[in-house]
Amino acid sequence: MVMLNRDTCTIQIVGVGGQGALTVSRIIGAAALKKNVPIIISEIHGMAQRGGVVKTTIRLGDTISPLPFKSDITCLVGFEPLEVYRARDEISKDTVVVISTDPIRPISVSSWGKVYPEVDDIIEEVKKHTECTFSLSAREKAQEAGNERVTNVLPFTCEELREAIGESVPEKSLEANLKAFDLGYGEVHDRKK
Amino acid sequence: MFEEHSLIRNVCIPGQERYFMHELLEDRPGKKMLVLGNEAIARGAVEAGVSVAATYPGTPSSEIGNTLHRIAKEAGMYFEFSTNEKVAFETAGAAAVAGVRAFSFMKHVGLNVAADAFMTLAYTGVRAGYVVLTADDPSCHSSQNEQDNRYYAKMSGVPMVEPSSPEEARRMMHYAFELSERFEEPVLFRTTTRMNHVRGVMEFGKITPPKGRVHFEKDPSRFVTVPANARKRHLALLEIIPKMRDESEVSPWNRVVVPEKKNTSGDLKLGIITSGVSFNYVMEVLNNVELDVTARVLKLGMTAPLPEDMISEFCRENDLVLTVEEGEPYLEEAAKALLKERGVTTTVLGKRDGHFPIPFEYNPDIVLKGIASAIGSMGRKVELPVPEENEWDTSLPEPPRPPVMCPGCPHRAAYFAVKKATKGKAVFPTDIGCYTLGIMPPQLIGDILICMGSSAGSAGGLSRVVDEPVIAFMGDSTFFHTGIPPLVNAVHNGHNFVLNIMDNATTAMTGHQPHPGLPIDGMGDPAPFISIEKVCRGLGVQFVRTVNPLDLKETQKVFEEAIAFDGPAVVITKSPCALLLDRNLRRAGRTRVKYTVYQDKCTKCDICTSTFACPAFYKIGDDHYIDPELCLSCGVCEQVCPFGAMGPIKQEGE
Ligand SMILES: Cc1ncc(C[n+]2csc(CCOP(=O)(O)OP(=O)(O)O)c2C)c(N)n1
Ligand code: SF4
Repeated sequence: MVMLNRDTCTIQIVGVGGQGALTVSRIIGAAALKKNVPIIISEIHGMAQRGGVVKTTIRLGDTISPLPFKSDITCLVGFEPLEVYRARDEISKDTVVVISTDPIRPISVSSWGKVYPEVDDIIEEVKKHTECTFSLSAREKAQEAGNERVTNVLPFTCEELREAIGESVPEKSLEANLKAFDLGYGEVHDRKK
Repeated sequence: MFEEHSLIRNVCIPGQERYFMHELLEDRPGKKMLVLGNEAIARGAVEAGVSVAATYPGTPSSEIGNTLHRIAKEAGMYFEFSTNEKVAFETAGAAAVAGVRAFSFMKHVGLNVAADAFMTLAYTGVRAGYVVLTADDPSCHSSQNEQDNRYYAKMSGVPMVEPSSPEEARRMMHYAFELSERFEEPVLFRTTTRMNHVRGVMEFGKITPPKGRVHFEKDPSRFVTVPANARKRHLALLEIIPKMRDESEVSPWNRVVVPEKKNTSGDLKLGIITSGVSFNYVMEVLNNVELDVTARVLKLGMTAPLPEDMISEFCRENDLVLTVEEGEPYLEEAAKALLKERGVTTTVLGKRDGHFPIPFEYNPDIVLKGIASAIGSMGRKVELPVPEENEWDTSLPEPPRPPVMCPGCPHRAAYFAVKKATKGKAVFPTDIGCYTLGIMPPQLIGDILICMGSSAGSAGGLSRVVDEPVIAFMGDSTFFHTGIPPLVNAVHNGHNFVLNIMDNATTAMTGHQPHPGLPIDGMGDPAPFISIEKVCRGLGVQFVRTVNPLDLKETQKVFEEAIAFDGPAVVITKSPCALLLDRNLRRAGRTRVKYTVYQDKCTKCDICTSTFACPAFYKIGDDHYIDPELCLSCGVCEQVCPFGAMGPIKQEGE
C-alpha cells in the first residue's frame, strides 16, 4: 500500500550480524540529536551476533512509531545484496536503494550446498522496481580507506555526519572510518550528477 | 584455568560502548541523550534512588543489567547478576521489605521462574518501592515462547504499568516506585521487545541518591506467610485493589489522545483502547490514513487494575470501540465484560472477532488492516490505498541465513566429538544458550528443548524409556540457573545418562554476562567462583571428567567412556567462548595465527563442510577456502581434515 508519511524519512538498514548496522544508526542518531531532528531507531539484537539477518530501522521526523508502513521506506541501505533481495517487500518505487555488492555467503551456501543468487541479477531486479539505485563495492572502498572492517557507507549528506562519526567510533579507527565515509559519499554523489 | 579466567575477566563487561559509561549518571536534569529503552530504564532506576537491583540476563531485558553492571558502583547502588530470576526477585524483594527501593528485572519467561515468590510477595507487600520488570517478546525474536505477562498482574493483584517509549519508560519508573510505596505492593513494569530495543531521545531527570542501611522492623504477622497470616494478607490485598483502581481512574498515564493530522471530522466516532507499543502503531495509522472517522484513543499506561469507569465512559462516548494490543485479548476481554456488566451497548471489537491477530508483533500495516476490517464489519466501506503491483521475480535463489555458532566456537567442536562417539545413535535433550544452535546441520544435535535447565530433567525421563544412550547438553550459566536440581534428582534416582556441561566461561547468548562460575560479580568486583566440577562431585556424581573440546580425539574418548558408564555421568567441556576470547586478545594487542586450506593437499572430499561446517569455510566451485577475516584460530579444522589439508597459514620461508 502506498501512503508515504511525508513528514518522515525512514532508513531501513539490512545486513548481517557484525557488519556494524548498529554503529551506523548511532552515527545518524548523534547527527539527529545535534540538529534537534526527532529520531527513533529500532534494532533487533537477539541472535544478530551469530551471523543472522540484522534489520535496523531509523525514523527521522514527525512520528512516534518505531516501525513504519512497509511502503514507507525512504531509503533502504543493504550491507549485503542477498538481504536486499530478501527485503524486497519494503522497496517501493520511490525508495532509494543503496546496495553493497559484496556477498556474505550464509552457512546454507558455504556448507549446505544451497545456491547464492547472482549479485547482478539482484541489482537488475532492484533497478526494475525503484527509480534510484546505487550499488557499490563497499569492501573495495574500505580497502582504499585502509581498514576492511569499515565497509559501511551511508547515503546521507555532509559534515554533520562526519562530526557524528567523530563522536561515535573509537579514536584508533576514526581516520579509516572518515576516509571510508568520504569515498562512499563521493561515489554516490558523483553518480547522481 | 586461571589464565583463562584472567583473559575472560576484562571482557566480562558486556557491550563496550564507551560513551555510555558515565554519561548516563550525569546529574543534569533536562539534558537530552539518545538511548536504548533499556538504558532509559536503567537511568530511571538511578533517578528513583534504587538501592538494590538484581537480575538474571535474558533478551530483551539484558541491556538493563549490562548498563547497571557498568554504573552501579558509581551510582551507589548494589547490583547483582543472580543465579536465576527467582533468586533475583527474592533478593530485591527482601530489600524492599526491609525498607529501601529495589528493582528486579527479567525476560518474560524469567517471571515464570520467579512466579512462586512473586505471587506470595503480593500478599505480604513491601515497605519501600519495589518495581519488577518483565520484558515480553512478541514474535519470539529471542525466546522460546511469546507469553503475555500482563496476566501475572491480574493473577497476583499487583498494579502494572506499560510504557510506549524510552522517555516514557524513564518517567514511568518514578511513577511505579511512587505507586509501589503508596500501596505497599510490588509494581509490575511490563515492556515488550520494541520498547526495550528502541532508541529514542530521553531527557534526564533529577537523581535521588539511594538510601543506605536501614533497621529491620520485625512484623512476622505480615511477612511470614504461614496459613493464618496468609489468609489475613489476602484480605488486606483485596482491600487495597479498589484503591489501586481509584488511582487508575485518575492516573496521568491513562488519558485520551486525539490524532492531529487525519481522522478528525468523520461522522463515525471511533474509539481505540490501547497500551504499550501498540499505541505508537495506532497513532501512525490514524495520522497517515484517512478512514473518514473521528478518532479518539484511550492510551492506558496503568493497565492493572484497569480504570473501569474511564473505559466504560470512553466506550459510551463512541459509536464503535476497538482494542488494539499485541498478545492475548487482555484489554478486549476486560472491556467486553465491563460493558456487559454496566449495560453499555457500544460494540467493542478486537481479536475475539478475528480482526486482530493474537500471535506475533504488530506494526502499522497489521494495525491498519485490523482497523479497516473492524470498521468494515460494521457495514462501512473503507477505502484503502490500493496495493502497488509488486511483480518481483521470485525465482532467484534465496538461501536462508540462520544464526550459527561462531567460527572457533568450542560448542561446535564438542558436538563434533559427541557425534563421533555416538555415531549419531543417541537421543539429545538440549537446553538454552548458544549451544542450542547445534540443531542446525550438519550437527543436528537437539531432540527436545523446553526451557532453561530442562535438558537434564528430560534426560532422566528419556533414560527410563528409550534404548539409545541419552546425552544432554547444558551451558555453564544454565547449570547454575536451573541445572543443579535435575542433576541431584538423577543421582538420587539413579538415572543413566550423560550430561555435557558446556563451560565457555560466560553467559554468551545474552551478551556475555558473568555468572557464579566466574571470578567477577555484578558490581565488577572480584568474587569467589564456584567450580562446576566440584559441585558435580559433591552431588555424588561418580563419573565427572573435564576436557578441552578443542582437542577432538581426547573429547571423543571421554564421551565414549561416559556413555559406557552406568549411572549419571558428567562431561564438562571447558574452553572459553571464542568470540569473547578473540575480542579480549585483540584488545590486549595479541594476534593469533589464522588457518587456511593447503590447496595441494585438498582432495575436495567435502568432509570439512559436511561434518564440521565452520562459518569461515567457503567454496568457489569445488575449491575450499577459509576466510581469514572470519577465522578465530581455534585450530579444530586441522583435526577435522583427514588429509592434512587444513592448517595454520605458513609464513614466508617456512
Ligand atoms: C528463564 C530464562 N531466563 C533467561 C533466558 C535467556 N537466556 C537464553 S540462553 C541463556 C544462557 C546461556 O548461557 P549458557 O548456558 O552459559 O550458554 P552459552 O550461551 O554461554 O553457550 C539465557 C540467560 C531464558 N531463555 N529463560
Ligand atoms: S558467542 Fe561464544 S559461545 Fe556463542 S556461538 Fe559464538 S563462540 Fe560460541
